[in-house]
Amino acid sequence: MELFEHLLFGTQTLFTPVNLAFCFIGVLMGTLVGVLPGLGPTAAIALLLPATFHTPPVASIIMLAGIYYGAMYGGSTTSILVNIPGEAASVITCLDGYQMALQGRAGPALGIAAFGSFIAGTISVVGLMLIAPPLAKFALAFGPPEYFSLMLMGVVVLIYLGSGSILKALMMAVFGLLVGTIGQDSISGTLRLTFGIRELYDGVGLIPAIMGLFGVSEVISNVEQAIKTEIISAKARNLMPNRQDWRDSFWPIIRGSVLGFFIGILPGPSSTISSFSSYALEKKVSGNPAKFGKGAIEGVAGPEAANNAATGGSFIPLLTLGIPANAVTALLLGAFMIHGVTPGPLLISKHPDLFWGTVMSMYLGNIMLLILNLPLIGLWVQVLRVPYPILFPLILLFCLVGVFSLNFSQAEVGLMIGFGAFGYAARKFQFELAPLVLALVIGPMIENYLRLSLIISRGSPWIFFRRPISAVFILITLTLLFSPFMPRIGRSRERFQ
Amino acid sequence: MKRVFFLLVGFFLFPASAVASDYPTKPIDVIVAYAAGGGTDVGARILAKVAPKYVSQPLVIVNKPGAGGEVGFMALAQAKPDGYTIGFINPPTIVMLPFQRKVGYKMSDFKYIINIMEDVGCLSVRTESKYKTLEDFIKDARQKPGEVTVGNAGAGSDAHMTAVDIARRANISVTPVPFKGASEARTAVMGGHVDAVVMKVGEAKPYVESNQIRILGVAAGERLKDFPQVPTFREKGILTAMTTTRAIAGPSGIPVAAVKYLHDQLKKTMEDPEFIELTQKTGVYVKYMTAEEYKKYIDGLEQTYGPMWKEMGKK
Repeated sequence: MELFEHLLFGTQTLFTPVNLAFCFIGVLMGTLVGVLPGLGPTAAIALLLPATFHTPPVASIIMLAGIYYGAMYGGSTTSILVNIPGEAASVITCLDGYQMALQGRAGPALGIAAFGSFIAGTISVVGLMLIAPPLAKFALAFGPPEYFSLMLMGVVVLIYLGSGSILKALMMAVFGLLVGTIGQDSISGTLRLTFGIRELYDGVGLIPAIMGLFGVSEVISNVEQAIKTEIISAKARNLMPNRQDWRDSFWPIIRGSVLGFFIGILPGPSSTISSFSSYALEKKVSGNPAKFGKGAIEGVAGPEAANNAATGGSFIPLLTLGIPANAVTALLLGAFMIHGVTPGPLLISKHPDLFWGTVMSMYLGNIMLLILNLPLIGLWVQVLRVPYPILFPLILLFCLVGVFSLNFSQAEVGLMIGFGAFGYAARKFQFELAPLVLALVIGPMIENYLRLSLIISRGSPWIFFRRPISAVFILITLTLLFSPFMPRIGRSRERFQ
Repeated sequence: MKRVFFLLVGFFLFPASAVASDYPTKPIDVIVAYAAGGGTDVGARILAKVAPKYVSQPLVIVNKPGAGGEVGFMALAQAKPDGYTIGFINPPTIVMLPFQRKVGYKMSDFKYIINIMEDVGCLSVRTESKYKTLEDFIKDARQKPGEVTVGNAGAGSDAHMTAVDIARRANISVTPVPFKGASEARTAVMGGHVDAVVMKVGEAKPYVESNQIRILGVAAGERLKDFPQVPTFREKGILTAMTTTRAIAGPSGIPVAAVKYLHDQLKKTMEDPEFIELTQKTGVYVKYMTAEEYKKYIDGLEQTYGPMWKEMGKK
């Protein structure tokens, strides 16, 4: 058993005091930056990178990787407790997680998020270990046309996100697409809708938008109805998911893990897209889609599993091809190079200690995270007992500091407040915010990949149909789009309204 | 009268000597016009890590990303010229932006102090590509004008300009494909979605070592130490050059004494083996240039790229 030998070797590498300590520091830091809104793994890794210049490469990589997947664990906490997603990937967790908290079930929500993350993390590490090299080729097969078709499919997912009016969801999505066009056009360099405001040249930042739409608007709308506090604390009894919760969550976690893992392999904002897709999938397969958005535990379990599995998936192109899937893995790539390690096809044979040591550390790191997070649930739930007059100014403060700490830009703070006001108005008129966020993420990518594809094909749209992977996505998109007109599938669609 | 005289003498002598002998008395801010974790940022953090051996006060990295670097460059141009705010400038980006749109700085707002790093451009293909040499590429592009696609890091990036420049000088026609960043362009060429890519040697090096990418030609004056078998474009009669540099500059009114101090101490930092080792591992080369040499280099860039961008806009 060659694999077994490798695992043993990896375990040997890992079980030195230094490596164990670095693994723990990494996941602890990750949990912290994940919990704090605005602060993300990118900033944390960038700031800690110089500190690892002189530590051994294996220990450094173990720690930096720990920050990355640790942050995914922590990200759901504020979504569930106070309806503020720590990052784009946990926007979707707000929908049902926060509803659960309002019903006094914050404990089970946090618990299932932690267990789901653990299971997904473990599944994705197994995937990384067993099928990394063949899957790496899969990532390379995706060029602009394939991404365009995949994203187009993502837009159709929008239809399944809303729990209210479809028309209003589409209006929000269109608004999100419009906001997404702000900034410098990456193909021609032309400025669009910036009105000479320099801070808008790079487009509207996702984090200020999300924290404004969800965080600030949450604070404003709670000022109106301060009585809710007692209801929450009175009901916050059991901290762990019960048997029924487990039965409801098991398959969503498994489905979310597999989905997240495969989406994670593709470069791009994979964790965000994976959590949105998982939510849409759960809603689609559920026998009772109407309960989504009203505190369905499946709506927490699936997406949380998906974004953690995506983290594991994103290590595949990084380690086997040297292709960073997102900003965080790009930073890890830099860390590898500073330590004299070249990620690529030769990494596993040239630096087996690093590869297998890191893989094993991810197993252990996931266990550490679970042990670290479960006792914290009790503590987090206590946060809800903090009186609103104290809690909400604090939340607002965290939002302000979090957004400012991203780029030290006052303009982005202003942007967040603007989005806060917009989000408040949208809530008042029962417009949903999630379609807007997904459109804001996907819109600019669709446009970019469409135009790149057409440049490559010299203007011929047939490129999307001639390439097999792309053609499959287009086919699925069309099927989903026209399914309401087909009698059998149409029935399940009606139930959403 | 006497007191006034001494006061005046003191007034003139003291600040001068303060700068000359006491500078720096507090930490020095170093503006990086890109987000934490980018290439310039990592380079800056290596500098800040090694500099304390020679510079008596810490260098504090301040990230001011935004508007493709303009926000940071503007912050540097408008900083108080007291020697306590300096920053990295990144040509050709800093030179290209004013050609592309109205910007909030001009090159005369900066006082160049020292150039620290350099990276040169290259034309690369994936290992499986049918282009084994630069001649193969040029021949194929000549046979089917406009059909060969060349990826680059974005509209108006140095890689984009170089691709256009190569085609113009080799008298061929190719289709430049502007991706978002060099990493996307590189992934696309590795997947075979574009035929070739212009990027920096530092960005290609790890992939050449792992046998995923082949460099056809480098846009440097002479062959590189790391790739002695790869020809330069110049050898093949294509007079294109692409260098990306990262230099330290201050706002234009910065005291002469501070400039001298920083130049001398940062030069020592650059020559430190630890600095050289860490920098080379990130795939970039350490390259010293004096402020005078640097000015010539910037002027040269403005003269080449300015007219080229205008011409490209007309098409």
